[in-house]
Amino acid sequence: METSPTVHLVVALSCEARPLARLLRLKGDPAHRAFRLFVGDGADLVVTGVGKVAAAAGTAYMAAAIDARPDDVWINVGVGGHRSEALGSVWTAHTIRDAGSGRHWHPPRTATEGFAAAEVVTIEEVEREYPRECVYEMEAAGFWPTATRFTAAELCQVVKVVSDGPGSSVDEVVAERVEGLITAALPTLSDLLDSLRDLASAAPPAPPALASELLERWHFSLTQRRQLERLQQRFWALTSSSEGGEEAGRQGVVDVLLGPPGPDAELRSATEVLDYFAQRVDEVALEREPRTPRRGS
Amino acid sequence: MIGTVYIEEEVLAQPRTQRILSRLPAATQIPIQRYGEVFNVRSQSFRLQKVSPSLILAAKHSGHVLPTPEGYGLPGYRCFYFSHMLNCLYDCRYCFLQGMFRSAHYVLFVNYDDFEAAVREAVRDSDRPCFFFSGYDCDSLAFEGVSGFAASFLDFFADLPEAFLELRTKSVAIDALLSREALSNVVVAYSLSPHDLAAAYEHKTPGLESRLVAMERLARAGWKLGLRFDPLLYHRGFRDRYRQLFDEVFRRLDVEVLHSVSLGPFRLPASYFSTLTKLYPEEALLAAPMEDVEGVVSYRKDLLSELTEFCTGEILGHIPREIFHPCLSGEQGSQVAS
Repeated sequence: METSPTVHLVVALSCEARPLARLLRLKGDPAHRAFRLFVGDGADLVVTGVGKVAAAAGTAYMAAAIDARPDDVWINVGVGGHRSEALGSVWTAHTIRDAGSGRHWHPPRTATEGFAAAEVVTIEEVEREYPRECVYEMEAAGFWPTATRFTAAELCQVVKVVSDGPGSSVDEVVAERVEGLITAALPTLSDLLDSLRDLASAAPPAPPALASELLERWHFSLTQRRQLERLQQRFWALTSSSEGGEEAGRQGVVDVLLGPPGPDAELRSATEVLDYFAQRVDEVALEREPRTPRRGS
Repeated sequence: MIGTVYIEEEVLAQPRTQRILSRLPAATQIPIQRYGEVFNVRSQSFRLQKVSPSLILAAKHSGHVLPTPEGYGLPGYRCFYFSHMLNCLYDCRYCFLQGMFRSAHYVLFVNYDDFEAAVREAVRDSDRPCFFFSGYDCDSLAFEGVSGFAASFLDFFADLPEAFLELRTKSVAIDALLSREALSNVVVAYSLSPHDLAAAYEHKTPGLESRLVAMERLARAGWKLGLRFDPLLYHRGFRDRYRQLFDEVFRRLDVEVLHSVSLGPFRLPASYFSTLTKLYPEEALLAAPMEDVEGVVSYRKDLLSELTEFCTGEILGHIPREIFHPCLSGEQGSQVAS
């Protein structure tokens, strides 16, 4: 991908949204009515309302509304109760358990290993007894299976700030308190964002899309398009134009097939283009020496 | 090194599990029911996970020891393979594991006793000597500091002299071998590539020189060695690079210490290859002229012959044919064997 991935934040309440919007300089987008969306440079946020169904719907709405990319980062931020951990402590989910269905998931910890981790249990009614050592909340089990349809699980995380417990009733969790807790958690959340953005940079780069010049010049069937895409990917990988990004890769192919002194005048059909291009790609491959990559892996 | 350990509840109380956990005191421990709930999830990215894989401690319940596919054994033996671990500490760009598994996490099956029982049973039921290849889905030695696999299985095979064990590795973690007397029924088989290719494609592995030094130390201690020139990688300068590699290896290792030498060109099941090109679309190694022959992707036939015939000829200039066991498909295999 040529530009950095976007961070998508999913929260239940406006009081959770406000500190995050301030941190990331997000502004409300009045174009959206089904859910409140905040947008900014490299990040956006949706306020879904309370509960796992709302969280799932808001996450899906956001993905469709902003045309999410497969290397984007998704984070559900919220508050929850815990029987023993301190108010204001911040937890990434190592396990998400849906108390209603019994389903559970383990968000990969690739980007969160330096952060405190806990089991997060999604409940449908307020928990006042805190029977187990976990964070009780109401959205994660709706967010997780939805968000992981749009991005790699490693780039998808759930973060909860402890807002209540046996010594601090859930009835005291009012908007001002939630906003204060999220504000206090911003340094940790900011570190987590950095870690996830770093990880996203290791995602596979997107090979160049097929150049429109080629598609206009010759008619390719669907199968031939796939063959052309694979040849173009090979050419891009072999010529190191992958280091120059998608546009450079696309231009490289156009230069081979159309550029002066391109053979396009002699290539009369898509089949001839594919044969010629395959031959050129093989020639490039056979001339290439192995190179030590710039990145470690 | 490892920040997170998932532990099947079934193996949590086992002494080996506790020993392993004591070696990873800073790791976050997460209980799970079965390893598949972490390892087999669909939305995972092998490439992203490889940045920092977690460890999964699990029990293997069936298929502990399996017969090797046709063409992958040794003549005169009944051959089996087994994997006490899934995935590898190293990150070789050509590795089939990237195409086979959805997850890059390391799964370590801690019920070594069950593997050993399966080995014993296979030996008992066989009419020929048995040869067991370890390290099929992992590196046999790279994780030794945590797993203690080799230490345990060397003890076991010391009491089973009628069976043979191959430890397949790129690792220089050989203390478990050097700290005991060499076993005549164990072969330490090293995968070797020319220096430039190792640097370009075998990320996180010990370099060629380090592997050669480890092999020299093992040879001096009396261990039998195997050489695995696999995968052979076609490129413009392959003749010079592989000739240089063979000259260096056979100059430093006396043929007397070699149990066997094999080679095999780069080849992958087509579905794995397709997965690899999606995981690493920018990788030039995967953009070489390849073709799919009956579901296996390898170099174009003319290139394949050029590569394997050259390397075979070079290797046979150094060693007797009796210890040479190429891993080649039908037509090519018969050409080499003749």
